[in-house]
Order: sequence, then C-alpha cells, then structure tokens
Amino acid sequence: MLNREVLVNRILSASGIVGHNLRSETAREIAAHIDDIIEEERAAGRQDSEIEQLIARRFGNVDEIAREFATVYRARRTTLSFVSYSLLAFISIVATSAFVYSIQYGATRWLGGSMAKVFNRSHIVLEATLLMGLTGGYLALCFAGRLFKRRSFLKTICLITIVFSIAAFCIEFSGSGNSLDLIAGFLFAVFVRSLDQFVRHNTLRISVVLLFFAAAAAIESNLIAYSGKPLAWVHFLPVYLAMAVSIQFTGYFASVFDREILKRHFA
Amino acid sequence: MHETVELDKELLKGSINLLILRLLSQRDMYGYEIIQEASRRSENAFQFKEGTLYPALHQLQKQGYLRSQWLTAGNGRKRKYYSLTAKGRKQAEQRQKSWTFFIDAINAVLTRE
Repeated sequence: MLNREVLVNRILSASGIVGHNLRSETAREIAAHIDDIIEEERAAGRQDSEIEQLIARRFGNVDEIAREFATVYRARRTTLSFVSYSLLAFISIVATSAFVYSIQYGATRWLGGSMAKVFNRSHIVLEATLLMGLTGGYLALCFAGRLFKRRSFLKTICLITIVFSIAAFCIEFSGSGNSLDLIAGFLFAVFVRSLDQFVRHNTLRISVVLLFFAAAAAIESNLIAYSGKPLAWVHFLPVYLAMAVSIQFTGYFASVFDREILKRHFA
Repeated sequence: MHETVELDKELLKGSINLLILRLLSQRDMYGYEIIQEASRRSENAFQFKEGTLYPALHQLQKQGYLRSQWLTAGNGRKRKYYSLTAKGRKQAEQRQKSWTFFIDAINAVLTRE
C-alpha cells in the first residue's frame, strides 16, 4: 500500500510552508484526503495496488505541488526567515560581546590595567565592530551556503565578502566606526569557518582556533598597538582567547538553533 | 455525456479560483468534496488534480476569501471544511461577472462572421 506519510512528507518538505502548526495542519488535510480516496475506491472494489497507482496519478508531480505551495507561502517564509536569522545574529553578537567584555574587565583588573583606557567609548566601538564582523560573518558563512547547490562554500565566501565590503564602505563613508575592524573580524570568521569545513577532528580544530587567536593577540599587541613593549600581548591574550571561545559557542548555538527552529519550521 | 476534450492546463489553472469560490458559495465543503462536486457538475470534464486544488485553497484563504474549520463528518472522520467569507462572497460574484463577460466576448469573436 502506498505510504501515506511518505507522500505527505515529500510534499511538505519541499513546500516552503513555514510554522509547525500550519505544516501539521496541511499534513493532516492531505492525509485526510488520501483516506477519502482509499475509502471510496475500496468501496468500489478496487485493489490496494490499483488505489496506489490512482493516488500517485491524482497527486501528479509532487515537486510541482510543493512549488505551488511554496509560491503561496513565499512572502511569509521570507519574512519569518529574515526575522529568525536577525534574531540569531542579534543574540549571538550580544552574548559574544558580553562574554568578551566580561573577560576583558576581569583581565584588566587582574593585570592592573587602566579601566578608563580599556573601556573608553572609542575602544568599545572598535571592539564591538570587530566582534560584529567575527560573529555576524561567521553566522552568515554558516547559513548562506544554503543559497547554493554546488561549490557552496566558495560561493558563500564570495557573496559574504561582497556584503561585508559594502558594509565596510558604508561605515567608512558615514564615519561611524573603523571599517578595518569589521574586515578583520570577518577575516577571522572566514578562518574559523574554513576550519569547520576542512578539519573534522574537534580537539585539533579548537586547538588551531586558540593558537590562531593567540597569534592574532601577539601580532596586534607587538606590531600594531604597543610596538616595542614585548609583554603587552599578556593584556591582549585573554580578550582574543575569549573571542576564540565565544566563536566556538556561537557555532554550537547556531547548530542548536538550526536544528530546533530552522529545520523544524522551515525545512 | 460530454465529448472528451483535453483541457488546457493553464486555462484550468486560471479558472480554478472561480470554480472554488462558486462551489463554496452554495455550501461549505472539504477538498475531496470540491473535487467530486466539480467533476459531477461538469460531467467529468473537470478532474481537478489535488496538487492544484490545495495550493489554490490555501491561497484563497490567505487572501481572506475563505475560512476553514475542522469538523467531524458522519463517518466519524475529521475533515477541513472551507467556507466563504463576506469578502469571498463578493469576490465570487465579481469573478463570475467578469468570467461571463469574457466568455461572451470570446464566443462573439468565435461565432460571428
């Protein structure tokens, strides 16, 4: 006998119907319809194998039905997708910033640094831009791959690079921040996401991320910010390591969000 | 019985909303019933495909022309019944008028010398 659930699931999975309730109601409706066909055809004396063929014929091309449904719900899907991804990005950026600033606060106190220097407005904006580039870039690289069927990683990097270049240009043009920090954050994100793609061994991947951020701390402290003060990296190291840890948590949070929200309601 | 004519898919697709609205203006129906009723009235000329009907029903509901509710039928099974809203009733009348005008115009072109 034709598996009713398989047919219903095939239609729904490509239909673009958003929302658990709407999906389950549509599934129920189609299933009830199939039951009606079965009941009537059995009463007319047809064999189950004939009914199976009849149902397949009547429903026609499943992909076509799914496309028709997708057209009906396109606007709703687009809106809810945008809201979901924006919410994910907002929560991630806020959580990452809170974590990094907390570590920075603790490290500054412990190492006896100047709070006024570390937490002045321009420094906070500078770091926030870096974190936005890192977290936003990482999430964009995680999810934009779904727009492409082939060579998705390469195409995603190209697409998101264009988006960040435009954002950097806007920041520079409006004079509201330092675009180089946004680009630096994005480049960190590209590195971390590339490791996600190509290094399957968890311990190795996390170790490389930590080493990379430690190296970035050393480069910034010794070559850029405090040239000639070799121990300055001690002040930078906790902050960069916090970024490394937070991006790992962001990756985990994004995968949970994807599994529990996006795949359940959008897939 | 009608002579069997292969209906143009696009033509059927373009008229399905009118047919649904018109059928529902007479009584509330569920999807399977709509297909059966259209088939019966047209003496099997219209054989709606399920894949055309349900997206059309959802579209009309989304546009506010239909409302739906789950009701238990005589055999104890639950079915989703569709009914017209006031907006849908107005739309049904309007579409029927423009369809009649269109058909008359087409017939005039086809039949007059």
